[in-house]
Amino acid sequence: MRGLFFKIFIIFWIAQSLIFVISTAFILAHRFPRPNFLLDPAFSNLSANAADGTNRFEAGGCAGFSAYTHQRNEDLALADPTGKILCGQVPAEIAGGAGSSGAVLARQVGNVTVWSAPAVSASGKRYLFIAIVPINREKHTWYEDLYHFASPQLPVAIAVGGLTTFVLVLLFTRPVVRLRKAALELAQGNLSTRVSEARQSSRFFKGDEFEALVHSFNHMAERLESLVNAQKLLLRDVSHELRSPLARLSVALELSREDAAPSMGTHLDRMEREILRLNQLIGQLLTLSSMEAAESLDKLERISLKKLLEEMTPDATYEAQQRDASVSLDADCECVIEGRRELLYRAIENVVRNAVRYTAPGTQVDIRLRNDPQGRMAVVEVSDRGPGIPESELDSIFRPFYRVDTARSAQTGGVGVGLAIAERAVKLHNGQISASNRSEGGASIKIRLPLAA
Amino acid sequence: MEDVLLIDDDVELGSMLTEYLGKHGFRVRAVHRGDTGLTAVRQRPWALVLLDVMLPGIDGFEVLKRIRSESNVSVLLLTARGEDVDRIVGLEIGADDYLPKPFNPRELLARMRAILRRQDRAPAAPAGVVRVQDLELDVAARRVLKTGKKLDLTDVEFGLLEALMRQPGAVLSRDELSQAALGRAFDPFDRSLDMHVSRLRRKLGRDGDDEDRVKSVRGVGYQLVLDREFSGQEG
Repeated sequence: MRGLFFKIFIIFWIAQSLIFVISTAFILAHRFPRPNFLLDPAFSNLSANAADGTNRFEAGGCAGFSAYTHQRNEDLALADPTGKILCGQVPAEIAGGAGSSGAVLARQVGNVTVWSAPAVSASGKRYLFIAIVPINREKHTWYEDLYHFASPQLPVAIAVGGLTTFVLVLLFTRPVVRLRKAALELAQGNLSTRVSEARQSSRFFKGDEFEALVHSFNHMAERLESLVNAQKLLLRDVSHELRSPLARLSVALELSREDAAPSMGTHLDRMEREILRLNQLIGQLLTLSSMEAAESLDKLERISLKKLLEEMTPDATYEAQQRDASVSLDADCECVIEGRRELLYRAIENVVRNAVRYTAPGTQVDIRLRNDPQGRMAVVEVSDRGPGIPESELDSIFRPFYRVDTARSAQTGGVGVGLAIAERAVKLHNGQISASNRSEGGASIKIRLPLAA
Repeated sequence: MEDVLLIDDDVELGSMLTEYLGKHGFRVRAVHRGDTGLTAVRQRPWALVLLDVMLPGIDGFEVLKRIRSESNVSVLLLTARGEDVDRIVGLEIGADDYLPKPFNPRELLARMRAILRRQDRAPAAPAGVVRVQDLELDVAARRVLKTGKKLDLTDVEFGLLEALMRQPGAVLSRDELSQAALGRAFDPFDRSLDMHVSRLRRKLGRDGDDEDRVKSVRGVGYQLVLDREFSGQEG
């Protein structure tokens, strides 16, 4: 937020100072006398001085002239019309240049300006009156003018401009800072976040656009919270409402089993299996829909994939033994990632169980954990020795309820949502999941997850 | 006949369970609200309480909390919400076991019997005090002290710790632990044993950083780890 504050502050401050400087320049340009206005009085002044000077020379010689020079406190000299110096001290290079024409001349020599004006004394003799003026007093460039006229007020302008800009920017950014904080909180899943609204007493702020925005934001957050809560409640209620009849059904089934003839046993077993399957389906659908609703993960924890897999392997082995298969784990890194433990566990477990389900009896399911240093990724690869997946359908197997072979699935069990759940969970962890066929037969599913920093 | 209290808002399920459990030696009384359930719990000693989580009146967790504040009766939690959080919270508050709905009634029966077996066995178990390093477990008083401080353990956690402390340093299989603490065979798809263990682990390590007093041995089970300084003394 410092960024916005400083940007607005600096821009406004510079703008205010520039406005002051530029307007001063305009005022100077329009109202300050131009050189012509300046020079005409200067010329008439020079001629008057020249007449004065020559009269003093004729009356008192060089002593009279230098007295005049002292009186005027200027650097003056007098020459005859040919340029020969009669009185006063003039540097050699200037003396040579004092022309003898009839016009008033001004020449820059070094850092002085030499003015030479023809003069006629009262006795009718012609002279050349020379005034030597340091150059900087004469030179009025525009920026010197500007500096001259603007400098006293500029600090005031900068200070006042800075102060007002500071207050203005504070007015702008403070609500924005509050809003941003609240939006961040909201994005992290804290839906009860609200932006504090301006105190009722401060009439000045109440009702401005920012407060309206704050108000609208709060309204939005409220809606969001109630919608999400409603969604959660709905999921819970659906789960409850679907499972309650199933619970009754299982008890009823068990009651009838006790009264039934032994020949009914197989039918009842089948019904029991279907109840179990229906229950699994409800559970997985709820998991899937709650994951679809989640955009990102909150409450991340550090998880060692190696430990997670080690924990999972005994269960998978147990299940594999029922099919006369086995599971082997080969992990060569700790591979710590950040995420939600139970989601990851479920994701990888679904993939492993899927592999166990499809691998041929008597074969082995390989779980390999590798560290891919290039992409800073952990790679979990689960390979089975089953029938594999048709090439055209490699991407489709992550769709909910997608089945490669409907005839086979009835034997293998499962409801076809497991891989969809796995995909969603992996995506929530910013990872990728992909399926491929192995050259030696069987399918392989690869999960790539970004390693924790 | 054992007296069992069923607190569940599903009236029909209640009547069917009453019938089913009745056939297997349980006299069931079914109530359908949280508040009436709580009064019923107080009325007389029950062998077991079956408690649903979603209840009108008072929520099942709240009922469990209040039961725990005044009695030690065994509680088996039932819920149809099927959220992991429910299970964790339930065990945390002090449920003896947890069964998600829909359950197989035979499974319910097995769990109920396991809980009752545990109750029967508890006083009959070899009395006395088991000491392992800084842990002291009083079987008769069902009390655990860690460096003199009392640990607040649930029934299942107590059973787990007892089993581990009776064979310190040895690796106990999950099946053995399940039998000892939950009174039933280990089911690889039921994560509640691991959950009990991890909660026990946290309670043991609460004061310091010895989080892994109970170590998980991959593919086998769990082990009570002996501290180096102590094992040095013991040779």
